Amino acid sequence: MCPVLHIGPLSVSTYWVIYGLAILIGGMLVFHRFVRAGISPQSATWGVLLIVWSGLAGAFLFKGLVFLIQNLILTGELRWEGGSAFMGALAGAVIALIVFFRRQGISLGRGFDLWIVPIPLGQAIGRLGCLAAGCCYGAPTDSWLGMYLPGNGEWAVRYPTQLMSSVANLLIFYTLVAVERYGSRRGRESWPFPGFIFLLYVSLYTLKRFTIEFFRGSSPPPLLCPLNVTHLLAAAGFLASVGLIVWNGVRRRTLHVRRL
Amino acid sequence: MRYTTVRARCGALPKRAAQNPYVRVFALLLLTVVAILVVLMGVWCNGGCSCNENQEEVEAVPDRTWVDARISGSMLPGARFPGDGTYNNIRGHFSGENPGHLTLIYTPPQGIANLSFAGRQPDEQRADGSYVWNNVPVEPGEFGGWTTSAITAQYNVPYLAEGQTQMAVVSTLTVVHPDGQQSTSEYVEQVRPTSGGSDAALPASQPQADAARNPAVRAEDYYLWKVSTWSSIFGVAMTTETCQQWVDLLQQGKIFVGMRYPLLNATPPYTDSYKLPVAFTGQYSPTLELIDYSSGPPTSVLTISMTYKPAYHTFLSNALPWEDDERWFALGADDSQPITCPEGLNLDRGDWEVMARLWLDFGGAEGDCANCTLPVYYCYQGEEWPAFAGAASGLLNLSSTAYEGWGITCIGPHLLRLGNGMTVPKFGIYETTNQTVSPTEQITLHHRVVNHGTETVTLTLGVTSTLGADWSLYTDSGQPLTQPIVLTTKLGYFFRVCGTIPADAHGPHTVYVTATSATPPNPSVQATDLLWVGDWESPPPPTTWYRTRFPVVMIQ
Repeated sequence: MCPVLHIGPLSVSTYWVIYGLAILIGGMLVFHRFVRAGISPQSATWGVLLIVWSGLAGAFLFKGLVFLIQNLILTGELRWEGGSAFMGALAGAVIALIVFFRRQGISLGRGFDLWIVPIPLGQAIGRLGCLAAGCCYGAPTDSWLGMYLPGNGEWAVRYPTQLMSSVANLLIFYTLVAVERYGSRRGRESWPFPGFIFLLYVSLYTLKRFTIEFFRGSSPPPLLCPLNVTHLLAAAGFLASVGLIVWNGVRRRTLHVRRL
Repeated sequence: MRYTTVRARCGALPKRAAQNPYVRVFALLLLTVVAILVVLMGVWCNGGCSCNENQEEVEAVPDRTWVDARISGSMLPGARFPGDGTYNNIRGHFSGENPGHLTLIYTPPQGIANLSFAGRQPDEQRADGSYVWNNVPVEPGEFGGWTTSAITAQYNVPYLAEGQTQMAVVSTLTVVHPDGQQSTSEYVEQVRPTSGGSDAALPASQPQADAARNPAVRAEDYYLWKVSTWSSIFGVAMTTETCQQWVDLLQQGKIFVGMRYPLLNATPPYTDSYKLPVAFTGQYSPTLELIDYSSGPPTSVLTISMTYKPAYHTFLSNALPWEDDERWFALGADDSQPITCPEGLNLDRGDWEVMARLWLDFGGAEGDCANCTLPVYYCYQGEEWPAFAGAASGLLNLSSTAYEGWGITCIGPHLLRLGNGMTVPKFGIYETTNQTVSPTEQITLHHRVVNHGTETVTLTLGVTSTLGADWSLYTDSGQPLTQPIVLTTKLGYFFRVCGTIPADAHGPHTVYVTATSATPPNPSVQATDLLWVGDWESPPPPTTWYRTRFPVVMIQ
């Protein structure tokens, strides 16, 4: 592991360097997609910055709130702990985007489809930072998947949950790109309906998160049987996104039949 | 002229680039990233992501041990006069559903005479001096749960040796549930000379309510302390043959670990029987493991279960110090099944370690015994070390201060501090070593200090020892260590402690390495390295006290 990069007299956290790299690559891709979709470069610049800033704010606020609620339930204490969480970043960015797309006169579904595709690529890069820092580590295991990794300072053969997450995010990225290209080939800007790619991402990501949470050794304590707060949030996100996909699909089919 | 042209080109390039929206966005994102790095690295959450970073040394136990072992004494518990007759009432108790029957294993105090049992006779007497009652039926208990009928062990307490002012006699009871769960308690009585008879004023022992012994703790709220230690023999290879010799030695029961623990929530005069704190519940049972580091990730080569060694409780309670609200217990290798080392084992020096792991149960409440410091001694019973162990005797901490009259030598104390992430420093010192060294030898002790917390810590390292030697601290690369050291979160820092053994040093010695935080209230942690200086010295032979009765011949 390489939690700290030494550059001359400077010591920089590898985690944050890779986190920065993910923001740069993800941000540039989002910008490119905005411009290609007809948003002016000036507006697209502000849009990207808005996403990054609100995403960062959401990441830290969300993590703090989760710990606050968890501590309140488990210990009865109101205690704030630092950290960042991707789910919070997603929520923060979504709120900012709603404002941005409304001002640009772009439908929310179409806008979210534009923005979401590079996000899993950024996540895939970011998880490598977790691997370098030794955080978000897996539970000890005897399985062939195991790698000798640290967890809270204790080295053991663990599930490489950081790499598992990274690979899963890359797969999600390729899936989204493939679905988008399939829609383009059919001559449709948003196939099968505006917002589908975003909802597909949410459902795939929450499914991935729900699954990997079982392999993590750094999870919050269980709240409901074996499920912890992250499981519950992921399950809620998955059900909501799948529900919206089904609802939109049925609604679109009904409209299509009526037109006929 | 040429110079001017070049300048014009150089000046034009950034201007054009700045007009490119992609470059502009990239620059702004880069600025944002740099700002994040500067702000977050310096202030908060260095290296953190969505992780739970609390160091949890307590662990929830899914299956609560409800078995309870109880020993009670006579009306004047806690003190006997030498040679007095006394008794122990022993019972097994279970708080869950009717188990049908329980198994009781009773180890009487060492040195007693005229032992007899009433109520039920034992089914078996083991070589270690314990008595076993198999399948003892249970009946509804007075305070709920299920209890065995009382079995009474009667005996005469030992006489004191000349010059001895008092002696602790310790009896131990283990109760085993049919599903394998078990619990052990010990009961201590003091034997004092007749002239010192203030003990009669001691209040009688009050039977404890079940509710008090088994606090209503929900299974998912039950907490244990997880204790793990690693040891190695410096410069010794581990082959199948060597491994087997060590295993046989361990299973002979001559090597044991003594640990002193506090009686939590107990009230004076501490005359009840008290449950020993080591958990024996499925995976939460004490083990010794031989760990192989030779290829890839560490793997466990051999696991040896550990068990209480009640035969040594009397020794520990008499030879080593304790207060009224403290007790001793001994742990050693389980000898119920012979253990065979794996074939083809050939681990080079430095490629293996022995990991001892156990869970301590102080009642199940979170934070119970937090910050307790438990002294640990490593002991060996015997006059001579087996030939194969030779010089390694000191390395494994199995030799040291000899306790005359017992034939046992112990080294220690190795101080074990219990603490969880909420109450104690979130940093620790690891990789303590045990070595045999020679006078005038220059030695190096390797250590690692790790920050488990979520914040950067500034630490000052220090070294003291019972040797009186001068110690120096070096980085892992051999450079003199500059204090203080700053550790970002989750970072481990390797360092070395170097010193020269004084020419007149001999026997067991301890090196204490401390790390103290610069942040008030300046919490500190300590690790101990155990050294044996010089050649092995065998302990004096055990002494047994006999009560001799001369016949009186009346001549008329």
